[in-house]
Amino acid sequence: MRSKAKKRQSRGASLAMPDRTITMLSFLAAGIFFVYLVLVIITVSYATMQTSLAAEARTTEGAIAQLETTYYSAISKGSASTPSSAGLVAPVVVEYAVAKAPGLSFAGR
Amino acid sequence: MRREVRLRLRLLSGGLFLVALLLVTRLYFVQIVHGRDFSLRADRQYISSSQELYDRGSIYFTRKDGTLLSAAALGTGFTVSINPSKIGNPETAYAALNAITPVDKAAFDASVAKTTDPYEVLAKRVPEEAGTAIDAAKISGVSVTRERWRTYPASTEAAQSIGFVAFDNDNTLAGRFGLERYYNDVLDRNAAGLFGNFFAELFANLDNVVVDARASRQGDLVTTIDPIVQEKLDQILAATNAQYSSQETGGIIMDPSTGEIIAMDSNPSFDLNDFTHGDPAHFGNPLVEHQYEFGSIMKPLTMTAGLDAGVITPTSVYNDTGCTTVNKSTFCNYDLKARGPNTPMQEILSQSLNVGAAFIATKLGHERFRTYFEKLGFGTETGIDLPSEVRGDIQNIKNSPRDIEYDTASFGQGIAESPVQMIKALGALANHGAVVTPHLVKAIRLENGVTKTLSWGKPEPVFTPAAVEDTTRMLVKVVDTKLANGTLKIPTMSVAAKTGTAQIAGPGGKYAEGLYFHSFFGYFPAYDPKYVILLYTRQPHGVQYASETLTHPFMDLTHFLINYYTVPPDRTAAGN
Repeated sequence: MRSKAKKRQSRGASLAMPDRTITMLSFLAAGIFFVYLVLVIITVSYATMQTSLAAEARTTEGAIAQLETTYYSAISKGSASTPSSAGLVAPVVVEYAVAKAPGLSFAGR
Repeated sequence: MRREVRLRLRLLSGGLFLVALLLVTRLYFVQIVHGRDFSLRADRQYISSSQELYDRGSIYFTRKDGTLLSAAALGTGFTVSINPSKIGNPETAYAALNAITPVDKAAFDASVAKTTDPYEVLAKRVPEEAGTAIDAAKISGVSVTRERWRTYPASTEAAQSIGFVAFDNDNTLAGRFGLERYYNDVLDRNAAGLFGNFFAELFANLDNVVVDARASRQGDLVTTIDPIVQEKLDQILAATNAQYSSQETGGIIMDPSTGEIIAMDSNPSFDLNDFTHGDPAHFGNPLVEHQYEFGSIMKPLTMTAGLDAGVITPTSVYNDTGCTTVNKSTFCNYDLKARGPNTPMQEILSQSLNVGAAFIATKLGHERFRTYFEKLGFGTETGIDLPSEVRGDIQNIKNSPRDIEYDTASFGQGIAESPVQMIKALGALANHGAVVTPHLVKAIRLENGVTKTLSWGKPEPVFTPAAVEDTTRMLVKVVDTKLANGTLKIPTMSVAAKTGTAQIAGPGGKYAEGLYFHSFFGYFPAYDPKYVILLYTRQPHGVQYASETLTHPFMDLTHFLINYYTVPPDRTAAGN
């Protein structure tokens, strides 16, 4: 009977959770939870900042597109206008620049 | 037993640590890697969660100094709506609203009258400042919703090449024509799967979490089109088309050494920002989707093939009979006149002699002639980055053993090509004998910040540089002495060019009287070309020859390009 009781006692002792492990796991869990919370806060802050910046960037892009429309319109007007309408007249004598080197052959390149 | 418990505890600890690690990893990707997507999602909820905000990559033109200008972008603004049941005093609300942005009073009153409808749209695409002011005014029953839409700042410029975005049969917004369609996968931003179940995604799509495949595919397109050159080309095409009441007038300007298309378009076209009022017949791009018989601009290719094969030399002569009958069919020079024996090769190009071109084709023989034309890319797609490209039609010289088919093909009749095929082949004369792949997009600016330069293959040699130089010298002589009787010669710039006038097949397949297809091609500086130009006009009225319709448009473009790109002179004023 005594030997049976001793065996039960020793089995109960072996099943008990070691104190160091419980403490370590608790700290680990708390640490991970803390990191999680910090990351959530950073994520939300980051997303908020990103949202406002993205909205600002899109608004700016839209404004740029409007400016580009104006630019294209200016190109169109410039290309369509004739020199005479700007008060320019054809030169009496046309002179051409002299080429630095004749480039009359590309054979062998 | 104690050992078993320790083992279990370690396993449990390890498992917990692994899960924690996965959570931390996941959070990293949520806030760092996919942060932009979440921000976009948040942006959608910025003012109202009722609308999905549209997103799509941009398409850029490139100026000569490398500056990028939007050809397709996203417009931003607001939709103004009202809830009639909460509007309070309609007159006060209207006055407050109208003070910020003009609102039609009748439409406002009609919307207010619909008291059972909680959402009535008053105005769309309201500018940013006005939308923000309306929101700040906090008018009872009036709300603003952020809105984005596809916009094309250049409106009509290169409209058929850019294409547009529209709803398809599945009610999905996608690129319908041009680059918008060809590069839809790159421009599209409707990716799914990021906002699904957190844990399901974590374990099911681990590969996507680690590597975001979209970032290496989606981006903005950087085209080779110069908006200023494009505008000039558009104006010249429109003026030519109007002057001769043509069915269609088109043109392409290409860098012959790279295949980069600097400008391309056809007229009539349409406004990309108002395509719903455009003619659907003009939405497609005839420069790649239609094929034509180009006529005499084919002769320089026939000439170069003959020189390259060694069957003729620049000093060869032939007997020009004016008309020739082959396989019971007769073809003639344009004026039906014979030039007689000892007609030099130069005259085949200078006077555009059909009999002379057929002489070279006969000298080449079927096999060699066909091989040259196939190497030039006729009968196959060029590989240009535009949808619905046609292959061209050279069946006459592929299937028929009759000499007449080769003779007519030598002066550009009986075979058909798209304009982009034609400029690819003619580009060989401006690129020391090698063909390149014409293309519009040179780079993709990826979402991950990397710019990916596209590779369009190496030039493929067809002719020797010596044969090309001989033909070039002849074509320069055409411009200097024959084109408008030599009055358009540029003393300090060698320009090589050739006109082409082709008959058009009418109903029944026979060539019709009075129906012509005019074409014109040229390149300069002729001996070290930077630009090759192809122009055409279909069924012009009141004129017969391309020299009448397209000579001045070509020379206008040439002078413009010389000035715009400050191309240095390549010969002295004396023409040496």
